[in-house]
Amino acid sequence: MIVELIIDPLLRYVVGAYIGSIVVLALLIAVTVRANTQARRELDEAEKRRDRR
Amino acid sequence: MSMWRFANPAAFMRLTGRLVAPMWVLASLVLAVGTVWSLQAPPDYQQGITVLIIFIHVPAALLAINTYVVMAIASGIGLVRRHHVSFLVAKAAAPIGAAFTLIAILTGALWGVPTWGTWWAWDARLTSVLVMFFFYVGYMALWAAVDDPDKAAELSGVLCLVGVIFAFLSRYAVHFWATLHQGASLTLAEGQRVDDAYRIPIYVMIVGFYLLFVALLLTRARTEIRLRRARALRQRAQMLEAAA
Repeated sequence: MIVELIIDPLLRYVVGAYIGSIVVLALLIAVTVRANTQARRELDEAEKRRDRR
Repeated sequence: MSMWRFANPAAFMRLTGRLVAPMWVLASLVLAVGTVWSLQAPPDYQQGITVLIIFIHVPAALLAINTYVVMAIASGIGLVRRHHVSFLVAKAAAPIGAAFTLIAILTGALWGVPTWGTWWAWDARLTSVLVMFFFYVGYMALWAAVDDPDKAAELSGVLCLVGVIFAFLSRYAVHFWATLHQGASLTLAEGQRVDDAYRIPIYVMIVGFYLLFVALLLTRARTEIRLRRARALRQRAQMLEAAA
């Protein structure tokens, strides 16, 4: 890959586009999964508190 | 059987609970196949290897616009029929649309340098996409800024509907003005204008992006519904404690 980057300077734009997109999508997925886990926990706690009462 | 029954949070959770996991699996598979297929495409005779950016840029730009349309429809339904689930679906869609718009802008800029000789131009399509991105950010900021969720839903719903014009312009600006950005290459009306070596992997990637969008949207909408339910239970507990 490093050799190809040197041979074809245009490849750096392609690599940048793919890595940039993967980073943005990975962040979005990570934030989504984390928020979902937190929401599940919050709802579980609220329901347990209601059931105890 | 009416579609409005899915406006009931319990019915929505039941249906989407069965769909979420298969959507994630399907999206991962299609995107993996699409990416491997895309990277096998030959260099273009003019653009060289930078043509590979098309496989991300086009699906991301398509989803950036269509996510806004989904948000606007959901907000419109929420404002007219007062369904909380509609507002929450719109709220769930906003970060997804913003991420796709950001990807479209970033990949477009990276494609612009070798093909146009510039990262950015104040061209009608590029500018309308940028303004649409600001509407996404503004919409999310408005939801976060207003404490009362019902009031936040209404205000952000109205803001979303105002921004629809930029989603429309992002799609059709190339038809209205002479823009640096080219017109649509993938059209059903004018026949085939892209070789199969590029066209088929683009379609696979578009399907993959749509599946990813649905997986993310369902997951985020379920999160929002759970948070709303948890908030309602906490408020009820506080009221009971205050009354006791």
